[in-house]
Amino acid sequence: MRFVKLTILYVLSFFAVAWACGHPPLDLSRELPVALSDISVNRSLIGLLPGGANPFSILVGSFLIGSIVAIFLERNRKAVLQNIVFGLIVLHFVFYFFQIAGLISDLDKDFDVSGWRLVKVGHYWSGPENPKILAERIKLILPRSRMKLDFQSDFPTDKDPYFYLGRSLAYHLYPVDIRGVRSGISDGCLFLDVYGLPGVIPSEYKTVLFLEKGVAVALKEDMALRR
Amino acid sequence: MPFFLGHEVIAALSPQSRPAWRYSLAFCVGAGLISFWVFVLGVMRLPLTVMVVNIPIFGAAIWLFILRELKKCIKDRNRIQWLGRRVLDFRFWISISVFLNMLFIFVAAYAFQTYAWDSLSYIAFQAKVVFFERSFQYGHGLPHPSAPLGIPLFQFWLNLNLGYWSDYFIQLPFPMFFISLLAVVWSFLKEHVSSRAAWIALFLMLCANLPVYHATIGYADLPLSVYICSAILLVFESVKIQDERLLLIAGLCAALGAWTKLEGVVFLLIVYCLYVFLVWRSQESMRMGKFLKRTMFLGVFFVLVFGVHWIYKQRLGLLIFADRFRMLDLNEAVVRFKSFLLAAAQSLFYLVNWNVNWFLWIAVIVLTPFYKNRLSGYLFIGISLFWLAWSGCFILTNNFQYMTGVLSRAVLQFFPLVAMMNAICLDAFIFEKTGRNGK
Repeated sequence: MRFVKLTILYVLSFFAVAWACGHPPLDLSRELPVALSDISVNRSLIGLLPGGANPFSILVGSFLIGSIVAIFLERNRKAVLQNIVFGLIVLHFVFYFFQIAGLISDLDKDFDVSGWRLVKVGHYWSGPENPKILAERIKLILPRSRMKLDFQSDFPTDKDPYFYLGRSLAYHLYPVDIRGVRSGISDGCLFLDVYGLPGVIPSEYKTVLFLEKGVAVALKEDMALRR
Repeated sequence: MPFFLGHEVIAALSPQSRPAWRYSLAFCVGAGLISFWVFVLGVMRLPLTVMVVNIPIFGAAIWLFILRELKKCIKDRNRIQWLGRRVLDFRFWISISVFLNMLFIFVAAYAFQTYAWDSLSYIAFQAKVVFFERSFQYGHGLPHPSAPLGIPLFQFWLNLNLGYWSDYFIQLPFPMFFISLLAVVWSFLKEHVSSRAAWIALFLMLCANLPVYHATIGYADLPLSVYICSAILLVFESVKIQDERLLLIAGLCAALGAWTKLEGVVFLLIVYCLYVFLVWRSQESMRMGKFLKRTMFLGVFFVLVFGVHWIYKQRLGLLIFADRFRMLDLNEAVVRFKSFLLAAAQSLFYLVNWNVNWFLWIAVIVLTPFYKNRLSGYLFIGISLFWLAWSGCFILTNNFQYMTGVLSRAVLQFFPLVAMMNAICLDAFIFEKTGRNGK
């Protein structure tokens, strides 16, 4: 029963501190998952709640208040320490539920969980040009599935977002090789965000795909004729 | 769901039927009922979405389950108290968190094509090149040619069996690795500490954002973590129960760790150090021959797996590390050490990568006599060795420039040890009797 009481105490202190910071429980249950769902491959960050409050400070505040109450409720020094550590785990648990709720609701950006289908492609086919879609469009117009293309861009392809775009395009296009995996002479060139298109395309190349934003695919004459 | 529905329908129709019948027919009956339900919905021209199709089925199965349990409860009043206790049981809540995590992991891993940076850049890309070329001769043109091929070749094998390249199917291994990790942690602690500690560790693992997220993307850090942590735990068990054959499995796991990521090579040394420490602590009188035999057990698979890989790549000139391991100027090591401490503090305490696991770890070190427990002391040394290895790597070599980016992923590789150590010590500390009213 002691642990049930402690659980109630720390959960209440969490919501009380949040309320004192201007986030009633119902609002908090909507706002906190959003603030805790900013995750990437290298780190997971805490976003701020509307109004600028940091969820982490609410966690720390509720831990302090819960612990002060817990100290008054218990005289045995060892038991006080036990209660405090237990309180940390309880808050851990509360935080966790908002966290996982945030991760699941974040899926909804791309995937309609209720309908079980992909609804928005832009978010996870990230990059300014949606590389997956671009790759599929390019593959459709090429005469062969296995080709080697040069890759040309005015933007620095060794810095994000173009770094990611280039790598992602290379992956989705393969076995059309734009990263120089296969040796040999290239069959054409992929232009991505190149200023002055189509003027920069060499005369011996024939443009087979021209998209807005300076994206084009040009193949050598003999290869283009095979289409 | 077909199994659950079928089982409940058979149990409702014939409560006295033998369990063997119920279990053997459950899936067939459930599958038939589901397909008929979809047909009914189609005839009624209702939208065939997941919610419309599944919720009534799941609801019906749950309803039948509750009815069945209620009947049992009315017959046996003790069961009502048992159900009440169950809701207060922390394992009930941890089970819910396991369910929520699995929901997220499976949807996030299998609903989307691979999209994460390293996966597109070289892991899945290598697999795709091998799939289309059916050869390793293109190694020179591949990114990170020196990286071990453990994960890419497994992804290749998956698609080879599928018969075509699927950007979805290559995600298959990662949730499985995570489930394996949870199973290893849970079963090990249940065997060597207590069931309660096992559940606490499970919860601490699930609470951390980064491992859960990594179970959904195609990175190799989580598989490496599974292999290395398993090797470390197997070494402990091997020495504890004096079963030297377990060292072979530990060695195999460590070798597969090195086959997953290059860091695994250094981690094998950590496994060796921990083994030597355990032997030294156990005060078991061991002859040199026996010690060498066991050492060989631990290293034989590493030599086989990684040696072949290394020699093959060296002969092809593929051991290219792009200046990453160049030693940096020692005079500035102190400055880099400060940066390392700052980055580590940010990764461990400010971000929500690990929830409050590292706070708990500090609390455990300060408040509990963790060194008195053989296993938690062992894990503490393991964690310290990992910190030593990574701090050395970042402070002394050119890897320093990547430190802020990859430090959290480096911590991920040994994070299960932290969750386990926390669980062992918290279990002992929180539930220790304090002399107050017998509690």
